[in-house]
Amino acid sequence: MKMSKIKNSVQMSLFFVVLCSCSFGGHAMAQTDDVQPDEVAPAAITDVGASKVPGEMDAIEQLFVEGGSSNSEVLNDAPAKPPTAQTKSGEVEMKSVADLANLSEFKDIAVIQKRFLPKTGRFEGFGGLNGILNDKFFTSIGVNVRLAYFFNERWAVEGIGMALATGERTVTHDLRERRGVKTTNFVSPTTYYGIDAKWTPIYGKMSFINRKITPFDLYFSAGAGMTNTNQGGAEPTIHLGTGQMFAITKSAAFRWDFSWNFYSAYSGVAGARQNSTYNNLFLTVGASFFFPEATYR
Amino acid sequence: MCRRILRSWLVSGAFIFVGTVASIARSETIQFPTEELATESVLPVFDQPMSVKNRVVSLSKRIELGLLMGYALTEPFYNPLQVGGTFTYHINEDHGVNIYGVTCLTGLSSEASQLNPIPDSSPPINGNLQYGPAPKYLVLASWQYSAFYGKLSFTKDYVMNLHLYGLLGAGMYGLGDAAKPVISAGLGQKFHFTPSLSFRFDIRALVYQGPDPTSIRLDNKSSVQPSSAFDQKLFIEGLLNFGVSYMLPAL
Repeated sequence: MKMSKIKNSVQMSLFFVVLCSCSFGGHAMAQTDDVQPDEVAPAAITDVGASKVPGEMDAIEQLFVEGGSSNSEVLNDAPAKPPTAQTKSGEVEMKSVADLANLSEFKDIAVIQKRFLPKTGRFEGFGGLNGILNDKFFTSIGVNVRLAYFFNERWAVEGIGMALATGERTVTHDLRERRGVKTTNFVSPTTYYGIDAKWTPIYGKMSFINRKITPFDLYFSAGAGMTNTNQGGAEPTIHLGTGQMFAITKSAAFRWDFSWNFYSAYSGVAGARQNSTYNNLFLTVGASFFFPEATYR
Repeated sequence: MCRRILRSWLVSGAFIFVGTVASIARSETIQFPTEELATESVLPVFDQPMSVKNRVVSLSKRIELGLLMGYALTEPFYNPLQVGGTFTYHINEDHGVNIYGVTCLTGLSSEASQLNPIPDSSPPINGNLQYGPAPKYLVLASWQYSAFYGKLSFTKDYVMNLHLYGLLGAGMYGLGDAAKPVISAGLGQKFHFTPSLSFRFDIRALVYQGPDPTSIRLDNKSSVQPSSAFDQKLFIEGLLNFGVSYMLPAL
């Protein structure tokens, strides 16, 4: 009878302790579950391989695959060494220190780091100056404003508006004054407005004289719009562009853009009323501002 | 027997005490205001930081040879296309000497062709700009300052290195039968497919004093006129170049 009481008391005590431990451990698990993947510290995550369990994906690999707010980067700029020998099963049995030489490199290494200038779900307002590079008869300089919305880090839609002030080049003046060539029908754009799809597949970093690192995005854009010309016409226009955004802060960037406008308009070199195609190459430089502020935690 | 019972109760009491303390400790949660949490990683500040070590594409003491195609952006009368090559010796990672030479393709531009005859002229008059001083060649020696070096990833699948550089130089511009001094400034980028092979493009501004094809009548001429027959005028032209280049091993 007494022995059974002792056993019961010990069992009750152990049960209580186990219960407390489980409660404590459960609380710890709950805290772990609260950590979201994007809250993982971006730096110092290296040498992470894919899970060996079929169908299972670890958190870091999932970050790499989803790619929403992270990018791959090679920290050391030196070329990769050739892989070392590996067994058929992909595993190397370690028996001594000398076997370290037989280790193979990770096949799936992702160094995860957040982009310096996040864009997902943000607007980009841009203002700058532009000019036509290839107008042989006029000098055109103007202002360029843009507003973009980024659906994710790669894709955005952007509205463009530009206005140009146009002046004659000296060759145009000389043709008219010296050679009697009528120049009033030379076509030159005065305004353009349109909409683009913007694709930003390239993200990189540049070091300035090996002292300062500047992150940048390189994008391509394509769209359509209307060009108003000095001839009074409003011409449907195809617009293609490429450019770079150099991040200054997480909300501001220096941006240059190289755009090609292609349209058809009525004119001739000297008064012959004919329909011709025109190509305008625009160089634009300015500043971009991103809003609202991104959430970093 | 009584001592054993007491010992067992003592052990049980100890477990209960530990469990109770643990239970109390579990309920404490420390809350930090979000604004006090660090949002950025902080890097140490060095007096002389070095951003990139062990460059994939090293320039120092290397010779770079390139083939290119040029397009004169603001050439109104003559064929704007050019073909040629570049030779660059990189003194170190930042500075180099670039020799640039192109030959200009012959012929008139589409606009100048429409001036034979000049529209609305009565009787029809040909502009005859083919008898003017057409560009023949351009040679430039430039200081190349490769201030920016970096790398980029294309959709996270492909990593490529790049250089962004500035150019400042002078040379000679062959216009008709004359060679005119020219100064130039430009910007360019190289995208490296391998440590030796790269795609290169640059845009340059040219400033020179040259013959003005519109300064004399050409409609009554039947052969190319000497450059000295034309008035001299200051020109500012734009030049766009694309090409590939190959870097030899370091000397």
